[in-house]
Amino acid sequence: MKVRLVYTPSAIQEPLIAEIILATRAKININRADIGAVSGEMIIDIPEDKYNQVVRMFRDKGLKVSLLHRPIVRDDNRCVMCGICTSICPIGAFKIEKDWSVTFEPEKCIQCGVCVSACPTSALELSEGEI
Amino acid sequence: MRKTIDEINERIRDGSVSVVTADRMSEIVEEIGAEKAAKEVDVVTTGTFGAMCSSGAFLNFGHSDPPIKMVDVWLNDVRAYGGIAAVDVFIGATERSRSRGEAYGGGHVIEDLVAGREIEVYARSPGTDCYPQREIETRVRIDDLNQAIMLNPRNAYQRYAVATNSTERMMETYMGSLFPHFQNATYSGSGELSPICNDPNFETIGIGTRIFLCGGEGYIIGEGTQHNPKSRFSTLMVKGDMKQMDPAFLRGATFRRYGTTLYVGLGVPIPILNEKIAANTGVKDEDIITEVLDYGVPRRDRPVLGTVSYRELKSGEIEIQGRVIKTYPLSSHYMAKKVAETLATWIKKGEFFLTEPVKPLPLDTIQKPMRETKRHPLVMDVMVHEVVTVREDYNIQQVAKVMVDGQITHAPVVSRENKLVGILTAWDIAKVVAQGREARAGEIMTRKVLTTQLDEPVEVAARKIEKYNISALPVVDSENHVIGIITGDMISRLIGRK
Repeated sequence: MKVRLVYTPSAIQEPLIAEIILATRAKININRADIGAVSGEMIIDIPEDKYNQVVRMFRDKGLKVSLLHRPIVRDDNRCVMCGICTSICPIGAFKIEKDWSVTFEPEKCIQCGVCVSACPTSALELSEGEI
Repeated sequence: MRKTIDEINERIRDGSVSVVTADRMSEIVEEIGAEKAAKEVDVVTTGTFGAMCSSGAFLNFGHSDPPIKMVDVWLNDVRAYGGIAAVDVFIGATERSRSRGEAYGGGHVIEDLVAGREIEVYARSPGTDCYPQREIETRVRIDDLNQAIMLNPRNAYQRYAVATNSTERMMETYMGSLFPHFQNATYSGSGELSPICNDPNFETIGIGTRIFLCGGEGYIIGEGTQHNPKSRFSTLMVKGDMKQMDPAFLRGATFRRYGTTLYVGLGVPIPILNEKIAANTGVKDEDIITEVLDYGVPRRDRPVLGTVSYRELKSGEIEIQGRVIKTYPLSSHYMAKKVAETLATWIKKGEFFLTEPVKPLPLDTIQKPMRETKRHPLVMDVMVHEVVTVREDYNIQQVAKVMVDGQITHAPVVSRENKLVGILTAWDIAKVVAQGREARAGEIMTRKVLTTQLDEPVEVAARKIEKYNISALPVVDSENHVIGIITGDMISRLIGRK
């Protein structure tokens, strides 16, 4: 399950991910990390069975955690199914189907955002997440 | 077996007409042959849905009181052409917004109008005796306009060349993002659904042919610009009433770092008047061949790397010079099919009738390059011939001495055979000295060096220098020997930029 973590300045100094992995033995996959000197954001994938435990630990450390159900939101009124997103997406989350419609697999998405700027009809938007 | 357009229209009227989409017709012709297909099918509908930059619209606003001659005109802050009568303007698809740049442009204005959204109008005028008003600011919807007529000088290219990129760097083009080292190829056009591919000799398509244009009825009003039938690059000039259009079949669009454009949905009905026309509409994706071009070469005549069919393109990968390249469409096959299907439905329901063209489109026009009366300066005209190079086995002191003696800040690094292997700047040397270490030129040089050639236009070299924020380009011959250098300073002196 994909979540977005928003770091607080104090949390950046700690080896948080390492601590949580050691404590929970959860196989966390880091999809994307953008950590600066005073702020940071990370998209991680947590196995379902460890989800509650891991999220609780991040929250205890003061991080903002939001679940990403649909990491990218597509406005179907703007999308023309050209398929340019299939070309630009680094991990192949978009797919052209047999009838040439374009589908999106949210579980693959790492929210890198390249599709958002490449989409000619501005049909894609990064979701801020829920909860 | 011969039919006339009148006979087909009679069948549309009485509901007995037989209509199929062009992709289905390809199967029918293969299954039962052209002769039988001509008997069984009356109309074949085609469709394409792609970014068509040569699109725009004439708008008439009606007169204000006091009246104004709208000379400098902006619609949602996108400049429209006002150099026609007082309240007529032309808005073009690729014009960008003053305030929002490439995020919004003429294509978006057209979409907003068709979707019924209000647009802001601002116009200025020097003022005349008959048109005293000098400025106007208002908001209008499409219903407020007297006419909103889409008029596209070049649409529905018969086919289009495939784009790929040989260079080491990403390119942003009107053919989308092209990854380095042939990692992808992009293509446009709907192949066997393409209107002109189904009637390449214009046996039915001509001036006055009624068509599907962006969800409304439109007309072919002539050959499009750059119409080049001999090379199978025919095009159409079309018009249509925007008030009838459906926003589902057009879309304002932005190609990153290229600019704005308009996705246009266009479908042409082909009346199956005889066996020959039926045979032509049997065209399949594998019969439509197009060239693969290297967009890495920023010249008019880009190198042709090979040819492929639309069937290969639609399969998702092509093989060019022994290399497998993934292909991606820029135009929407999904929407192209929807255009052809919608047009077929209109005809079946008796809502759309075919027209007899007034005149066929020409088959003999060619596309010429621009006549240029001023020669562009080439790299050989401005480069420095006495280029100082350093060998890759030089140490820091040797490189520093060469730079100081030559009063240069960039030194191409060459091999024993005098071939270019890297480049060093004074900054690279300073860094090593600051770290207090020893190194050879070959260890600290930048290995990926952008280069230029003698016959490259200075404009192209300047674009490289600007785009990659570098200050010099070594000039190399075909064997990668350094024969000169060109710097940003030289270019600024020549063309006064940067």
